[in-house]
Amino acid sequence: MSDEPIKEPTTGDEQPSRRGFVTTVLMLASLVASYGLGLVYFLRFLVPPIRWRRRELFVTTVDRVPSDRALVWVGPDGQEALIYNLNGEIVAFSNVCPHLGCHVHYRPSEQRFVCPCHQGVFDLEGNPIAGPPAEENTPLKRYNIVVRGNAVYLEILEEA
Amino acid sequence: MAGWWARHVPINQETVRHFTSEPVPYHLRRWWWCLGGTPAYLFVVMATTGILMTFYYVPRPPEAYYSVQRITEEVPYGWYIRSVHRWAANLMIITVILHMMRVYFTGAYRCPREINWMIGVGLLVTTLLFGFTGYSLIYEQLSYWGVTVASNLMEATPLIGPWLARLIRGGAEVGETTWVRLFVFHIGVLPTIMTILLICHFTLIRLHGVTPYRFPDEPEGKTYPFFPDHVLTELAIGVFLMFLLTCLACIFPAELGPIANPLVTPEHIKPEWYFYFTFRLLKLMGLTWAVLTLGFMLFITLLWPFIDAAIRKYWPESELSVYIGIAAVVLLCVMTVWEAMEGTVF
Ligand code: HEM
Ligand code: FES
Repeated sequence: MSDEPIKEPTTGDEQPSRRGFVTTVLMLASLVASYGLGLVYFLRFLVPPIRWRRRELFVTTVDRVPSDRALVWVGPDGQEALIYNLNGEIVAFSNVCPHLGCHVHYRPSEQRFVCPCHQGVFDLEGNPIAGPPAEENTPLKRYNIVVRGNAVYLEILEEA
Repeated sequence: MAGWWARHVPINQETVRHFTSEPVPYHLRRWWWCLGGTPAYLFVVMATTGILMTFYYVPRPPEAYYSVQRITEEVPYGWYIRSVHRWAANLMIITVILHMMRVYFTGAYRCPREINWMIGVGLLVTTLLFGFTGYSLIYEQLSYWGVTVASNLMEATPLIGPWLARLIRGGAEVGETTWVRLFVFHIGVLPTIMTILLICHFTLIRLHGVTPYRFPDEPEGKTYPFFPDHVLTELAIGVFLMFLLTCLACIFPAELGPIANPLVTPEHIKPEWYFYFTFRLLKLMGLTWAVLTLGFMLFITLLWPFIDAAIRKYWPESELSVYIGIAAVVLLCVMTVWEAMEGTVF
């Protein structure tokens, strides 16, 4: 008895069967590649491209920006900004909660912004002080303000 | 006549008889072993009432809201069809959870039925997505803000989040196209997925047979035929369900809240009860942790049969799975009740 492995009897079939294996692999690979490519196109099709556009919108005049409460400004496409004079600087916060996108409510009596969805609370400088936004330390988004002469403009980014 | 049919639809009578009279083990006489049949029946109810409502529904805001209003207030029996659809959805979620609990606590997910458990988890997720998209279609305040919150939650998913969010929104932000997409998901994509998963679920049940079990007062190895006995039982349950749904629809008809206002989030906002758990979780922790926790729980649930097998390999006699199951049920109930009881604080 030797430990030599028993050789399969070679027949004329060997070559074709190896070729058969290669053909199968190639066949499968090209099937996966072609149907896979189709799937990629389908998935790409489902997600539309987004083009952004920057705009400056006139909001109000400098002398009309209050310092004791927030001016709620509503833009043409429903964007909302809370504008006020914070120690001499005109600031504008987006009312979109950085947690999951609900609109915060301005509480003049408490000088706070409160989000009704998961009870996020922000101070007048937009800093999160309670709720999930405070856990993650996500402040209210600030808009860029451009002052030209007496006119106050808000810079917004929108879907074109 | 019979000859004509036999020639034109050449099915072997024997095969039909063999296929439909599959012996059902006797313990399925107990209703809690047949809980899986209830969501299946309800799915048919949902499909029927849903297709009916599609004749009137307009998937574009704000007409969406007015079309639901029309169904509820003007269309003959519209209130009934809509209420039955709504109640069937709630019952479906309850019965799917009960069925899942039956499967869990009888250990029916164990080898060789792991794959069917995973398909089951797919069915559960699909059912919940049905609930979410369906609720959103109404375009009332809660629909709008639910979609806003949910799409932002999806966006926070690692890696595929932004893609997922854009897929559901149809743009950068929640808007008109979002409702077309919710509609397509609700009446096209989800029913297709559900049907495919159900076919796989039932095929595997047929191939494995239901998990054997014998109650002490039962004769060993006794069975009864699937057709007509079991089918009749299920049909009788079906009639009872229609009766129940009709009662619920009459006593608590589906209502219509105020129309969505994209500018103002209402002061009091709560999702449907089956998302109370998630909602509570979102309040309890920051977004990153909430997403990770939810993902982790889904992952554990999906792979549970394998985790359980690993546990039992090391402690063959352990009852751990039962305790974990009870803990999970208690946790779900506590979070849900907690959320339900909370009047909005601010
Ligand atoms: C639309 C939802 C579902 C439908 C219509 C459905 C239907 C069924 C039916 C008719 C059975 C036969 C036994 C019985 O009635 O209890 C069954 C068994 C089973 N289901 Fe489901 N099911 C659904 C969801 C689920 C879920 C969410 C899970 C778990 C995550 C699950 C896991 C299983 C397993 C493992 C079995 C085999 C049990 C055994 O052999 O004893 N199913 N399902
Ligand atoms: S969306 Fe504002 S706290 Fe969650």
